[in-house]
This record gives sequence, C-alpha cells and structure tokens, in this order.
Amino acid sequence: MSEKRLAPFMEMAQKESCFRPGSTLCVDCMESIAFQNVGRATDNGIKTIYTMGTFCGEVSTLLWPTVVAWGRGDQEATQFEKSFSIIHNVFESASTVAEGIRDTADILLELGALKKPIQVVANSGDGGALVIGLRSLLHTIHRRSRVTVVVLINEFFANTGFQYAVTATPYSETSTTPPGDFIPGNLEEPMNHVGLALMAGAEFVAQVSPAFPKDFTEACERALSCSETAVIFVPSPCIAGWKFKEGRTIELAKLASETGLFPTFLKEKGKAGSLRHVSLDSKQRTPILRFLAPQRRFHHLVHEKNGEPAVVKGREKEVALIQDWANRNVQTLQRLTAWDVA
Amino acid sequence: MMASLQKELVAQLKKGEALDLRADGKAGSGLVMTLQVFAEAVSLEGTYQVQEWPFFSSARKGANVRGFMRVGKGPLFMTCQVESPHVALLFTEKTGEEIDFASGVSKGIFVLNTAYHAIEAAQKFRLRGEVFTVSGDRLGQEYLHHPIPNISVLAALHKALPLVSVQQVVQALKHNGEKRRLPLKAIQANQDCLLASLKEVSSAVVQGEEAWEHPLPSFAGYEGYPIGAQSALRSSLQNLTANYARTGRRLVFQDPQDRCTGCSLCIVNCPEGIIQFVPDEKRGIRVTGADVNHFCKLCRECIEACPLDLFEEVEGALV
Repeated sequence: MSEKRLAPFMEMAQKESCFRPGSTLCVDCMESIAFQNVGRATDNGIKTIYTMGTFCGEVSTLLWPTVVAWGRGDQEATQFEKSFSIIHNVFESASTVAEGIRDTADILLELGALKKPIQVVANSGDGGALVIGLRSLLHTIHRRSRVTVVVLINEFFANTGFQYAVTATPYSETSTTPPGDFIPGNLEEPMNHVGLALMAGAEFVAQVSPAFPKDFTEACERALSCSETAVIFVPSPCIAGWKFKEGRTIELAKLASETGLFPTFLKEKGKAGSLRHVSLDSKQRTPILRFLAPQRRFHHLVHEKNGEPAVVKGREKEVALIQDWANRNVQTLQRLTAWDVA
Repeated sequence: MMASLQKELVAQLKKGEALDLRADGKAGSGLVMTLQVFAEAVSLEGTYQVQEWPFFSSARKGANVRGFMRVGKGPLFMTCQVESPHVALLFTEKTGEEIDFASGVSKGIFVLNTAYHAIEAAQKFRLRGEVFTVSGDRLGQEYLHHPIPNISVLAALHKALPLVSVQQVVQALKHNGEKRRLPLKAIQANQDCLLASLKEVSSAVVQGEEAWEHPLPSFAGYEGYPIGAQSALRSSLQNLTANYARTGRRLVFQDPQDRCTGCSLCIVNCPEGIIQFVPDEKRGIRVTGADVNHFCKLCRECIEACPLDLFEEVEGALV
C-alpha cells in the first residue's frame, strides 16, 4: 500500500458516483447504499472496470431496456478515467472474470496498447461468492491477482427467494429453514469468511458496512491501492428478507457490528488489524436482542413490544446460543487481527 | 341488488365461458396473497375451476408487478396472460398513474384501492362499467399496523364478484395465513380487517356518453434505438423510481434557518444518491434538498440519518 493521504470523509461525499439513481432495487436497500459509496471511492481518476456475479445488485441494476443504473454512458470516450465499463457473468465468476481483465489489461499496458493503468472491482453477493463461488474467490485470492472483491452479505440467496446461505445467523428464518415447533430455524453456524480470505493470502481484508462511512471510505481506499487481492465484505441488511420497517437499514447495520455478529474488521497483511464498533468486553457489548427484535425473521424468538425486545417464552435457550455465537465470533476476529499468513 | 354487468358475467360463467382477472400493483402490496386467497375460496366452493399466477421476475419491493387469474366452469385450456380482463384490480394508485391498469377493458368491473369514492375514482382513471373502491391503506394501517391493501381489496373483490360466500373467503384467508406461517394474532387481524373492509366498499355503476378508450399496449420493436442504445438509456435517466414511494406521501427538506452543518451523513446514506448540495466555504458543503420528484423511493434513511431532523415525510403528491 502506498503512503497516500486518505481522503477526508467529506471530500468523499462530494465525489461523483458512477451508480446512478433509477435502479429497481428495493426501497431502503443496503446494496444500493454500498454501490453509491463504492462508486464514489472509485472516482479517483483511474478508469474502473466492474465485474458482477449474478445477485440482486446485478439483476436490478442492469435490466434492459427499463434501466441501466450504472451510469457514465454519457461521458465522452476520450474521457478515459470517467468512462466506465461493466461485465456481468454467472454467480461464481465475478472474481475470476476480474482476474482475467486484470491480466489482459496488464499485458495491453506493457505492449503500449493501453496508455494508463486501470482498476478492477468485482461485485458479488454472499450466495455467489461464498456458497456457489467460494472456490473461485479463494483461488483468485490465492493467485494474488490485483483486484478488489466486494462481497455483499445479506445472509441468504435474496435474489431467488431467501434460501439459506452459509452466512445465515443461527436460528434465523430462511425459506429453506422455516422455523416450526420442533426446529427453530437455521441450525448451522455461519462460516468464518474473514478467516478464510485471510488464510488464502489476501493482502487486505475488511468487513465493514456503509453505516460507518468513515471506516467504509477508508476500507475502499486501502483496498483500491493494494498490489494484491483485497476483499471487502459488506454486511447488508435486506429489507425484504430480514423483514423490518423502512428507515432502519442503517440502524440494523450498526447493530450488526455492535452486537458482534458482523463486527467492523480491517486487516492488512503484515500489519496489526483493527476491530472497531464492537466492545471487546462481552459484558459491555450491545445485547443481541436489540439486533434480533426489529426483524420478523426472528419472530419465533424475539418480539418487539413498545420498542423494547421481549424473548418468546420457551425460546430463551436459542437466544442465549446466538449470544454465545456472537461472543465467540468477536473472539475469533480479535485473534485474527494479530494473525498473518506465513 | 346485483348490477347488470355483474349478472351478465355470472351468467356467462354459468354458460361455460371463462372469466379473466388482472391485478396491477407494487411488489409488497400483497397482490399475490389476494389472488391466492380468492382463487382458493373459489376452488373451495367447488363449482368453478381456477388458474392463478403472479407475473414478475426481478421486480423488487416497490416495483410495478402484475398478477392474473382465470375462472371457468370446465377445464381451463387457455394458459396465456390476460390482455383484456373482465375484472381489473388496482392495488396502488401510483401504479395507476404510471401505467394504464384498465388497458384492454372498454367496459368491465374495476376494483381499486383508493381513498376516493367510486364515482370520483371512475372520473380520475377514466373508467366505464362498475367501479368498486376501498380505502385499503387506511384500513391496513388500522388493523394490520402497516399500510397494506391486500385484505381490503380482497373484500372489494368479493363484493365485485360474488362467486363465493364470506365464510369461504374467511376460511381461505385463514388457511393461506397458516400456510405462510403467520402468527395467530396476525391471522385474526387479517380476518377482522376483511370483515371491516366489507362494510367500507363503495361502488357505482358508471355510464357515460363518451367511450373512453383503453387501448392495448403496442410494441414497435427496438428499431428506434441506435447502436449503443444502452449508453443513451443510461444518460436519459428514464426510470423514475419516485413511483416506488407510498401513494400520497413525499419527502421534504426544510432548512429556513440555515442549520445544515454539512456533516454529509444524508449524502452517503442515500441509496439513490439524490441529495443535492452546494460547496460552502465555512462548512465544506451545504445540503439544499433532494431530487424527490424523480427518484426518491421514500426509504426514510435521510430522515433517520440527519442529526438535525431537517428531512421530513409529509402528505402530498409529487410535482
């Protein structure tokens, strides 16, 4: 990473994002907020090529002829840095297609056919990158390809109807793990995606939500200036699948970090990482109930009564187990901040 | 007292001809559930056969969606989508402003979710035939604590097309709720909402001298677009997503005392990136408003984000 001064947060807000209004994403979708901010971060004077796996953010923003929300088509072709390209492919291939683009661009640059360097950003969902395409993601990282991979995590396959994905919180409701009298929802514990990316050898791994704009901006800038693979996991509350009221996306994203389910994590190879927006003392940490209560996918465990969470009778054990998992998750990530691949 | 058109349609059904229904609304307005429950009630009754299917692909919450239903005495062999329905339903008024929900219907039965009385609604949407309206958003807010019109429109549809008894609709509604794993309380609230809505349906037979045409949409192909049409579309900013917002609500930004500190939280938290601002010497930037009329989906994030509460959701139509 270069010793470039990080752009102040307000400076970032004034940048022009290549993600235009007019997408058909849900009202109050976190992916949309993430794209806006990734778009602002890539407006740094270098031409960006995006690749997309199949996910909500692809099918709702590249619909033709209704809308193409990824903009800059109106820029003159001579404005190399401002004009903009996008390649979309199937679920698992966002990172591998990005790798191909990086190699091609490097060769063209060496031959002189391309005058200026480019940056490559791969966008995909957690179903695409961590379930269907975990292999291609890990291999891209393993090959040290110089791309930035953005993985939006909403805990299931939202695009196809909220089926279980490997990142789902324990005891959450998904359409393939419906809670009933005997089975209280999803029984699996989530995969440690941050650890996997680190162990595969990523130069920079971050788990950060746009709900913390300063950290998100920092993560994007650091990722784009890496010389090897950088991965940003973006926890994205999904209004349609998590089933909460409009206007609470940012609040839930903050709670996801503060309760320890998706703590804000930044780690660069060879340097000490940091764990932010979560208390390391489990007694002072925001209780998990605050995060579960507003969502109807945890309706079988917790209800919200007059703004206060109340555990459903007989489900205390499950809530305690989620709390336990959150505590262990923070411990794991805390250990990872000091861990480096040999 | 059954009106003539209703009688005509029921007689047509008894003769063996199929009856077509088409519903227009927004994803999240409960369109699928309404048609499912009505179809189930009709099949419970046993006289008629039904087909019911929603029609949308990658539509997201707030996007326009469509659903179809076909009722008939004998086996239903027709499987294409409905172009000229006998009964047209409208779940959200904003959808009606965007597309012609009555397209292909010159005279028929119309069921609308609107606060207007049937006669006013007929005038607004240029309808001829029998019009049934119900204030679904208000009833939904009252009984289900959420402005969802599905149950009220179901009640209005039951009034418009009396093929089954109220008990059968209630039974189908209960079964559908159980199938969707709704809590018992919600199932009961749905039932209460249905019974209350039945009393609030307004109807009118609208006849007029002039015939209002609702032509079928035509498709002229893509010839009009030059090569590189995608680029033109990107810059045309055509997809006005402001229609995703709730009917009759809009966002306003008010800062008469110039309190905005330029903290930029609204700018980075806006999913559409439509917050307008100007450079300011002291504060860095100063927010001046948002492009509400074109793209605001009314997600309320800026309202929640602003530490000074300068954004507000108010009643009022888009300009």
